[in-house]
This record gives sequence, structure tokens and C-alpha cells, in this order.
Amino acid sequence: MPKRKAKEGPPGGGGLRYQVSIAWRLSIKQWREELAYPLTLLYFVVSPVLTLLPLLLYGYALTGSGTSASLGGLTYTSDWFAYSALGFSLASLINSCLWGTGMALRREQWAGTLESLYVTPVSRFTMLFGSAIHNVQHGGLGVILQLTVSALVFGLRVNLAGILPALLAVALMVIGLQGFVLFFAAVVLLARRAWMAVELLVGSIRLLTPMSYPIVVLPVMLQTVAQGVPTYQALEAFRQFLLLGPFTPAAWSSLGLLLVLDALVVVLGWIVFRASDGFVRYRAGIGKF
Amino acid sequence: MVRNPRSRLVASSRRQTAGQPTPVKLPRVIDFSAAGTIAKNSLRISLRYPANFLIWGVLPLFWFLPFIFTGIAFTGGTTSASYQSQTGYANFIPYLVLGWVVFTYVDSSVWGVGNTLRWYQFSGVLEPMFMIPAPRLSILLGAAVAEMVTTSISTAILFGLSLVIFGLSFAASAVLPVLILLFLMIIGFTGFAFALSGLILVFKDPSVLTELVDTIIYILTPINYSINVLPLWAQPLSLILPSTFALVGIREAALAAAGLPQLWIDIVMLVILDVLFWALGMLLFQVAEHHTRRKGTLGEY
Repeated sequence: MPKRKAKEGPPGGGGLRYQVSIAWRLSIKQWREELAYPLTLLYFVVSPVLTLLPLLLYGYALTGSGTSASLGGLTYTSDWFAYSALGFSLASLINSCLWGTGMALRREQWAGTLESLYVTPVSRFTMLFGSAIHNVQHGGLGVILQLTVSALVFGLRVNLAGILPALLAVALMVIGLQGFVLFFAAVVLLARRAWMAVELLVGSIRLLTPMSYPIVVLPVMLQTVAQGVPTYQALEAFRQFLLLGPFTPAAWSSLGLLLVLDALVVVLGWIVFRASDGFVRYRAGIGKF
Repeated sequence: MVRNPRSRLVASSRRQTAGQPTPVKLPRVIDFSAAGTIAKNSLRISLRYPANFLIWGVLPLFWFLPFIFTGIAFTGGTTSASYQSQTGYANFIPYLVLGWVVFTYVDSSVWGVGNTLRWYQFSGVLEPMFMIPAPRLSILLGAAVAEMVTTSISTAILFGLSLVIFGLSFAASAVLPVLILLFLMIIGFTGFAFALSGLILVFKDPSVLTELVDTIIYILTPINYSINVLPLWAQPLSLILPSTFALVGIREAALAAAGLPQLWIDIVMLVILDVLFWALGMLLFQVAEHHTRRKGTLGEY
């Protein structure tokens, strides 16, 4: 029986299926790297509780109970724990996507493998996509863990009918985050100390994506800016679907706006990343720290 | 007779140096002169990136502003009767500002000093650093001194910005007690960083270990709330952290105009904890270092 002829030539650049399979392998590689350190697994399991505890204790110190009349006047619920726990659950996904994928190229640079990766027949976007797959899985598991802990330990109750549209909000948010990620990756390629810019940008996004407060408490200028941040629209829709149910017009209008913002952010991120990648390669600065 | 190979090496080195001036006896635990040189070197590197100071002066604002906005949303203002009954202070803004300013030092001890050896490893200079004729703890002490200086510059920026943004003011008489308490806390956490460095030598991945330790200290320290709101079993754990006594004392000095005589309990407790943390830190580091070298995993990632 004749041997099947192996596919010749570099398949890079061609075939969406090939690029997706490479991205999948990159994401598995990242899981293997993480799980090689036993403490990582331990932290992954306990972090949902650890990140929620300070807020829980702070909220209790402020209100002395599980409700806040002030929050009730500003939003659709006075249950500050439910409001904040839902907000915080998405925070781990946002963090994982922004930091994990945004700094993916920098980590390869630190490990001395960026140049090797750049000469493989794989698109730059595939490299980022692989990291994004991993970080969405990592952050997504974090969301599930945190919501489970909130429900089982702290008695969080959600509207089960709102789960599907809430998942849609999360999916749209993840798409929007990829635009930010492309932008961060561009900064990482251009700036030697990119973590500063990434840290500031992530801080700003988190401030404008209020996990535990409504944006009406922000200064007016910041309220306007927050309206244009995809993560804010996604979080509001997610929270309203899970607390008020699927038939909440304000949540659906947030989703509509989110679609438009996603398109804008992803296209802008793509343009900026392409431009910076071309610039860095032209200046032969890939290996520079 | 079983001869220790190390003593043979020493004997051979003595033979080689016969007739020459007697070599200087090296300190066994910490070489302060080497630590000073390492601190100067680290500071020189830090000063090459002046933007770092500004960034670290501004970044913590992004971390504690959400707590302030949350407080406003939950209370409808900047004060709360419940908060007063829990912490002794009704206004949560100065309480949070002081908490976060002090926490930047804790953070820098854990992240900066605790991870020093890992940064050296990433930069490929860990083995050469381990070959310098000085005890390893000198490297960590040098890094701790440099970190204290750089953190103080960033914290001054953070504190100044917070005063301007929130319109806060504190009595000048609080400066001396605050500085004393802060200094004693930093000393304690330097000992803690020795232990953490040892653990990082053994476990290798610093990000998770550091994150875990930092988060636990953050939860147990009264940064955003008083330790009264912690579960009963966790309250004693909070009392073994220097940051708890430092923060309680600093708030009393800055917000309740307490003088040094009123703060003696905090000062004595900090001194006791400093001694304990240094003793335990040095011991743990030496055990971890010995373990790593015996297993030959020093250069492993």
C-alpha cells in the first residue's frame, strides 16, 4: 500500500482549519505550562473565594447587613452582595483575557522563544488566538467556580431563565476584549516596559466597568466614557439578565450597543496590531526588551 | 577518620594563601557591606526607569478607587454608622487611603523583595550572584533596602495625589509616629520576604505563590475594614501580621491624634514580630537554599 504523501510546504498563512488547530495546540501548551506548577492548581481553586472575600467583608462593614438602601435607590436591587458577586465573577474573565493574552508575546520574549515562534509558518493572530482560547477557558472556569461558591456558600440566587442571554452577553464581551487584547499586544511589541501601559489600561477598564457600584457614582465625564466601554455594557446586561430575568429591555439595548462597540474595538485593535507588527519587524526590534 | 570535603577545600585554600595577608573573615549570616552594594546597584537600575516611580505612584489609585466608589454607592455618602461601629471611624475615605498607602509597602516586600531571586533567574544572573563571596541573605537585604527607597518615592506620589483628589489633611504631629510604625513594619516584612524567597527557590513559579500570599495578607490586614468583621478563627491570624499593628497605630496617630506614648503597644508588638519574622525568615531561607542546592535545581525554571 503506497504511503500517503505528506503535505509539502509550509501551510502557514493558508487554511483557516490549520490556523485554528495550531491555536488550539497553543492553548493546550499554555495549560500544560500552568499545570506544571502544582501551586497554580491550588490557587485556581481557591482564588474565587479569595477575590470575593475582601468585598464581602468591606460591604458588611459598610452596611452591617446584606442590603443597602442607597444601592437600591441607585440600581434595580438593594442586595449588594448579589449585585457585586455577579460583577466580580466577570472580573476574573476580564483580567484573564486582558493580562493573559495581552502579555502573551512578552512572555515568549522573556522565555527567549518569540523569535522562534515568529519564524514558524503561523500567523501572528493565531499566536494571540491560541492564548485567547486558553485565557477564555481559564477565566470562564473562574466565573463558573466563583458563581458556584457564591451560590453554595453565600446564598446567591439568580434568575435561571436569564442564564442564556447572560451567556450571550459574556460571549459578546469576550469578542470585544479581543480588540483590547490586540491593542495591548501592539503596545507590548512597541514598548520595552509595556506592562506599565497595560496595567494602566486594565486599571482604567476595570474602573469604568463597575463590578460593585453603578456608574452614576462616577464623575460625569467618566460616566460618559464608561458608556463606550464594551465590558461595561456586557456587565450591565449580564447582571440584569441574571437578577431581573431575560425580559429586561435595558439589558437587550446594552447588548445591541455592545455589538456595535465590539465591531469598532476589534477593527481598531486589528489595525493597530498590524501596524505595530510591521513597524517592529521593519526596525528589527522583535528580540529587544 | 572521615574528613569533611569542605574543610579540605579550606585547608587547600589556606596553603595557597600562605605567606599572603590573612584573608578577611566573611560574615556568616549577612554581609551589610555587600547588601549596601547590591542596594546601590538595584537603585541605579531603578533610576534608569524614572517612569516606574510615577506609574507605581498612580496605579494603586486604580485599585482603591473602586472601593471608594463602592462605599459611596452602598452608603449614599462618605460616612456610615455601621463602619464607625466596626472600625471606630465614620468616614471611610481617609481610612481607605491610609490602608492602601501602607499596603503598597507590604505589596513591594512580597512582590519586589520576595521575587528578587526569580528576577535574577530570569535575567540569567542568579548563579553568578550566588557565587559572590557573601551570604545569600545579603542579596535579599540589599534588594529590600532598594525596594524600600523606591516604594517610598512612589508612595509619596500616591499619598500626595490622594490628598489632592479627596481633599484630605492630616496633622503634622502624626509624621514621626507614622514613620516609626512604618519602618518597623517594613523591617518585619523584610524577614517575611526572606522566607518567601526561599519558598520561591523551591516551588519556582513565583506568580501564583506570591499572588496567594499577597491576597491572604491583604484579606487579613485591616486595609478596607477592621479585623472585627473577619471570622473569629481568622482574627488571631491577622494579629500575627506586622501590617495589622502598623495600620492600627498609623490610623490612631493620623486620624485620632494619638502620640507615641499611646502607641506603645503597637510599637512593642511590632518589635516582637520583627524579631520573630527575621528569625523564621532567615531559617526558612537557609533551609530552602540548602534543599535547592542539594537537589541541584537552582537554575531550573
